[in-house]
Amino acid sequence: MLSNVALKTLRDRRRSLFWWVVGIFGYLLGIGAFYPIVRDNQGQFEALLETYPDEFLAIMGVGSEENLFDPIGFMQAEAFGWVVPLVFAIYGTVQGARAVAGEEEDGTIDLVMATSLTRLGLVWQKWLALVLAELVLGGAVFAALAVDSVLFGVEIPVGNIAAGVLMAVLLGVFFGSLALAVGTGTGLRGLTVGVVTFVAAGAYLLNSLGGLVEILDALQPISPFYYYDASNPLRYGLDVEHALVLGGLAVVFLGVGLLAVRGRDLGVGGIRLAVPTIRKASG
Amino acid sequence: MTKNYGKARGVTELDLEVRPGEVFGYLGPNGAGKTTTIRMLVDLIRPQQGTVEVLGGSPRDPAIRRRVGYLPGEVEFYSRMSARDFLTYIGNLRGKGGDALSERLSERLDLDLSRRIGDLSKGNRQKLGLVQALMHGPELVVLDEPTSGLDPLVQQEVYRLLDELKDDGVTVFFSSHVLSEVERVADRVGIIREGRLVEVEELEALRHKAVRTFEVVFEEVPHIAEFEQLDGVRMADVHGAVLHCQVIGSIDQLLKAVAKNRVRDLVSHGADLEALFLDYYRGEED
Repeated sequence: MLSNVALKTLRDRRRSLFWWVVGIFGYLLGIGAFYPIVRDNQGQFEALLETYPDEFLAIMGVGSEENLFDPIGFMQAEAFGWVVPLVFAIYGTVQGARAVAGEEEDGTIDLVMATSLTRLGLVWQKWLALVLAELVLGGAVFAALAVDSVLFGVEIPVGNIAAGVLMAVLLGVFFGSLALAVGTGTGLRGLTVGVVTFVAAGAYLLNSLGGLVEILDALQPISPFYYYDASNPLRYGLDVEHALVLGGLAVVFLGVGLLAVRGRDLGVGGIRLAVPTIRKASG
Repeated sequence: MTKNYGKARGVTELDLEVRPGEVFGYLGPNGAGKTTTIRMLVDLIRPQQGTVEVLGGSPRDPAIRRRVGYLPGEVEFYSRMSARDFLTYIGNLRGKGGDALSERLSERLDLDLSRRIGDLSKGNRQKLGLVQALMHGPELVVLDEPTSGLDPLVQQEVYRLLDELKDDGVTVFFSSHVLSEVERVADRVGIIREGRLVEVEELEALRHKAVRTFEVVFEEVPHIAEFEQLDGVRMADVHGAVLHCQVIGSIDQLLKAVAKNRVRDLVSHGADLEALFLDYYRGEED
């Protein structure tokens, strides 16, 4: 695990990744355990849902789902509509921001980059670690759904689970790569997390409300969340085009990160924001 | 080369050549530009103007950096790793381990490699920084304040290590703001102040430039004018039959002038490098 930057990064993240895995696995198991109750009391739940405004349901990720009471609709509404993509996106953002900017702020970049490691090698191996960590999270989701199927009858075709998980991984890699690019360009971890979180929150709202607000409808395709679930992979399987959009943009962000690191000074806090001087008005 | 980050940081038109095999001491007060210079030598930062050449190549070349050992001024590690794991990792990144040498160095510096880095004291972390800088048998060693945080005994051991590196033909470039340290190990020194190199000199030559203080007790009261006009003599002052004065450079003229009188006693205080450095630090305006 100490032979290169990618494995070393995964090694460093193993404890936190473990808890992320426990968290998402536990959540999906809990949700799965709840499924038989929902299925057996469909009428009551339908009446309850009638009372919620469409906007609320949209933000909770269940706006477009036609059947909320079959296993796929239930999982889409309770997990894949919001918790799963947000978990993958947040994890990606945090890891992407830590990747290079974190090492710069911690000061560990000095010893690492004084070896014969190249700057490009550092960035792409950090990216590789991000992808691998997201895949581990994806594996946890896949395993949880398999257990849900056996224990609680939440039966979803394996191919569709794989498609849903892959899209979540790609979404996480998308935001992770964006954070990697911003962090590598600026060397500032906090700023990076802030910027990417802002973008992610805006993109999430845009996609969720896009179906309800006419003006936003046309803008939905600029949200990565649109590519994540517009094709409803859990129900209809993988939409290759949408997967390529997310994966392709992630690679583009990696490219931006690789370019950004080439000419930069490392470990000096990247861009300097000009702080305007406030002068007292005379008289 | 020139490198600026904004107000009062960085270096300006720095032109410096370090000879192969020498121990070069880079002296200056805090904030003078020592760390900026050093970080350019390992390509962590890059000059705005000019070029850096290391071991005949560019520090951007990974193959060049592999032949360099570097200790940062404020060395930071992964606190959760053990010291040994850290050395393994750095060795792997260099593609050039140094297990045997790192064990030997750690033993010499009395560093326990099995401990978690986060549990090490500041001094022990500094030792670990030194071990990683030296463990791969580098041809050039660049050390930013190498003895900072070390107790005096370990400092002496580090000086001995630097002497041995020199004997092995390794080039050493190290920064310090401690004069005695530079005097102890360096062949040549460069003095940097506010980003500008103000002096580069052999240590011996620098000693010649340093101030000596003389106290001469004569049998009779001398004429102060005899001494005041001599080259290199300053602050000449006669109290009764006693002359106090300072001499910069050659003492030949003073001794000849003194010898024209009957002398009862003569006391000379050795070259005071510290006073010389303080002059440099303060700059010409003072």
